[in-house]
Amino acid sequence: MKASEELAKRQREWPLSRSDRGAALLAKLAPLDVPELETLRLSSSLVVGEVGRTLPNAKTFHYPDGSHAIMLFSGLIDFLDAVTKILYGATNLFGPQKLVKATSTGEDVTRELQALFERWKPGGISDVVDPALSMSPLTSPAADFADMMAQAAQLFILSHEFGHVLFYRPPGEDDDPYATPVLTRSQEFAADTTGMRNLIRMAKTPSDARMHIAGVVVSLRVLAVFASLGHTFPNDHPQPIDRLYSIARSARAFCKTERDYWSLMPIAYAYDERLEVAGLRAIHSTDPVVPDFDRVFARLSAVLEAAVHRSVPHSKVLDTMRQDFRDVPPTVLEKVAQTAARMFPQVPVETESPTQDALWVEKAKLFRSLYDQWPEVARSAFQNAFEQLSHGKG
Amino acid sequence: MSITGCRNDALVKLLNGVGYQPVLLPRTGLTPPELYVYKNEKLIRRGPLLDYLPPGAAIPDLQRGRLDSIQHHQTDKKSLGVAASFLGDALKCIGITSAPKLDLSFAKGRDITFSFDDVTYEALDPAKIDHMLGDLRTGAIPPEDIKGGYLHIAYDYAFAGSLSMRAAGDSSASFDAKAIQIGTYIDLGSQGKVTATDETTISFASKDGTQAAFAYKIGRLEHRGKKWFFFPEEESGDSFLADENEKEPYLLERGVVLRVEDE
Repeated sequence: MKASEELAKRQREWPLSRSDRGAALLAKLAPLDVPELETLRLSSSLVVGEVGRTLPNAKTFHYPDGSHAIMLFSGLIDFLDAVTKILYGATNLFGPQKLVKATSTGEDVTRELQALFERWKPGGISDVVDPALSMSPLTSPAADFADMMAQAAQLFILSHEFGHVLFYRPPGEDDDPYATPVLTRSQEFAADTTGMRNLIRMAKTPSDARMHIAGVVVSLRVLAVFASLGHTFPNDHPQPIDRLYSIARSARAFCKTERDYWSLMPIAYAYDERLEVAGLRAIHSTDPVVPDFDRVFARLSAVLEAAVHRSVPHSKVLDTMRQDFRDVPPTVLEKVAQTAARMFPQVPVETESPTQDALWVEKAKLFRSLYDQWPEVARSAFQNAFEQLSHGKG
Repeated sequence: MSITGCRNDALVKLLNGVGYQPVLLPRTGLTPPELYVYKNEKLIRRGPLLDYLPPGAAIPDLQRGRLDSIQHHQTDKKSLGVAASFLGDALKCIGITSAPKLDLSFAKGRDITFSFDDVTYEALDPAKIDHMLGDLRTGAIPPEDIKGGYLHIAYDYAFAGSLSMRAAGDSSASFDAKAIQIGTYIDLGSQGKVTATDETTISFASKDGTQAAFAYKIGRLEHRGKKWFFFPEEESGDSFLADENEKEPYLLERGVVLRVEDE
């Protein structure tokens, strides 16, 4: 098929310095869960491969014989690898009664990300910085998690490109022959949602699912930073920030319960915030990043979980949240409090997941036990929220 | 099939940068527009476009001119073994299809560079090609080659009047070209003449001015419904990140010199 020949040609033109990581990603997804795509794959009418270009991009080509080639540029794969390695440089890894301390500080990480983004110029990025050159190399398990998240980000992009194949309709003789086939906005969003769902379904454990959704969010936030740096997206293409919001909405809809959503999202929100801060610095913005409701509640939920697992002392919960509660606008705090009231009820919730039930009961207990130690403004917001919830139920 | 020793050569990259695909044509006297099939790394010449148009059809006047941006630009340095092979191929581009003797031992192991000189072009404006395709009759071209998108039209040919070979290196690098009897090492037969331009440079040219193009611009043909469309620019594909670069000229394959076979 033409697609295979064209991919091979591109790989000759821009040779790879290692084995084809694009083909390896396709192998991870195979068999494809969309029958039309799987039929194309089996007949070699759909091929995926890495092309050794340094631009951080992926492209899908459609050929007159009905075949399609998805080409992932090495620059994109390397960029996402670098981003996740840097992010994990300042990530404390919490296991039951165990804490693997990060090797770098949050400030180190923000600075490295900023340097990475600053290498981007309109038209592409000349060379991806290897974080191993400027940061302490990651060791297991952080290195493994970083790889998993990078791979999730890359798989999300590949899944999105599948949407370009699935929605493609060959141009007719009366169509503008020089128009580039593009998806409609709704098809772009649908391709994102399908990619995100596939990745969550692929996760073998809840922990893997967190990594996978974090990979999705990281890939879109990277695009959003590119947009803020000056990369222009065509009008018919949704802006990355809109795609990011859309993914969060889709993830909410995909989760069976609100609790599942908050269990899924903490890493995604934490890294999203870190990338946004680095992106703002890259454009020399002095605007402070005021955490939004999602990020604040995700942080609260995550630090409570770490404390319940005894990876951190209870005082760490207070230390972590004090700044958020001081800085966020009252409306955000009110929303955080209302969510806390629903997520940390006095009467335990029973679901089909006893392990999660037990964890959230403990988190609720700890949250309530700290009540007297929250700043006054937060105490008041929580009090109101619990009363409103109780009246609502009454 | 590409010729060896030229992948990502500086001159090849320069040609690609201005939209030319370096080629080694099977014979001299060919002019655009011509049909080609490029499939499975094989580039086959199918003949003049006029042969595929109804009787009475005419090709618009070709534009002709000099290509100053290309002439005198040198290839990468080549070792003696690669240089001998390259020279044999490059001579064909200036109309010297067979050379009885090509002995480069006078170079004494020095690396060598080449350049095409007196570079000109003959071209048909690609915008005019679309209008000629309404009555295209593909004849014996296999339908699967058409459906697969393997059909192309070359519309702009670059020719060289002469070829120069230089001793590579700093200013002290020299063949002592004036001192040696160049004719005892290189015999171009009746087709060509060789002269030592200076101590470091030897120049080759055909005796009768016959030329074969050494590069051409080409676009792909696509049949949609009952209409033909010609694409002289690279397809940009559906991008994950929008492409900000301007569209690039279409190339059969970057970084290589393709050997053309006659049908």
